[in-house]
Amino acid sequence: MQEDDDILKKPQGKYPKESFKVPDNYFDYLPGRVLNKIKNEEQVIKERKSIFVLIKPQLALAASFIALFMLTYAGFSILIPDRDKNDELSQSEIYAELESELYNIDENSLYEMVYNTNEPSKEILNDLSREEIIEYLNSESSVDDILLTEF
Amino acid sequence: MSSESKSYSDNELVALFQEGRAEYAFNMIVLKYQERLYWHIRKIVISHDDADDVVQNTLLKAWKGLELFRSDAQLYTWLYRIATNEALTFLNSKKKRIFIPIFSEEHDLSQVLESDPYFQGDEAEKKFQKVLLKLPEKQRLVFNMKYFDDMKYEDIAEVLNTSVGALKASYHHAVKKIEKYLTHD
Repeated sequence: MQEDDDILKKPQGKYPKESFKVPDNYFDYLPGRVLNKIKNEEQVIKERKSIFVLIKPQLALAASFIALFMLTYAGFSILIPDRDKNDELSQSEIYAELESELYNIDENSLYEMVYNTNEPSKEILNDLSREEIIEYLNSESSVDDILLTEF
Repeated sequence: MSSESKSYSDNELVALFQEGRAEYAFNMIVLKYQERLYWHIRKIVISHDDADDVVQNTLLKAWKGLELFRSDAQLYTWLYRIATNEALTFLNSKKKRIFIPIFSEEHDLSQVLESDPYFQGDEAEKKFQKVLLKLPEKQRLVFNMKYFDDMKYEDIAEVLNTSVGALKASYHHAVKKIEKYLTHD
């Protein structure tokens, strides 16, 4: 108890040097170490600056190219309307278009298409007479049914 | 060397630094304040190795800031402020890096005190130091600066950017807590 009171009444400014120590000659070397640290840091900053100065023209050139590209792109975007967007069709419009095309196919053009393009069918057709083919086509209910079953 | 530094006032050293004799003036400033700054930092971070890192960072920051330092402020309170901030920042970053969250900062610093080869105090002094570590951060700072460094409240207020009234209350609470811990433990 008395000891504790004594600690609190220690002469000011002396503690904690009495119990906390430093390596020998620590304060003799500290200023030199600090100046070395400062010089090292300044050297690093100088090197960073010199690298920046070295690549500055290239950076400026790259930046101006990017700016030029952006300006050109922006100019084209404003002057030329976006055709793709205008030409875009909805799915239902595409189906309607295909359907109308399907109805425009007459029997002769269908025969032509099958005869000219479908190679395996061509062999079969060669074995058939013209009358047999016409009879077959007449026996089916519609051109749609033929297209659906054959293709 | 230190007698050479005594021949310059703080304002003269700052003027010398800003007028182009930076290295010379800075060396004088370091010689003049290195011990006070070191011990201030050591009391906060406890270990010598940590105090060594922090004092170097403090002086590095001072070097960077001296060019713009205005003489209407006091050099030594400005240096103390940098040192305090650096020490607290160091403790916070160390806490995030190493310390296990279930332990308090007091526990961690007590461990540092136990393991520091440059602490050579007897049991009573170790106990006193551990009691100081129980104090809240601000009270510990105020107590250190008032009790050990015998700083004026006005100067401590400048360092900690707080009012003299608040500091007096902090110091009073710190002393009461220390007395209580020492008599009850």
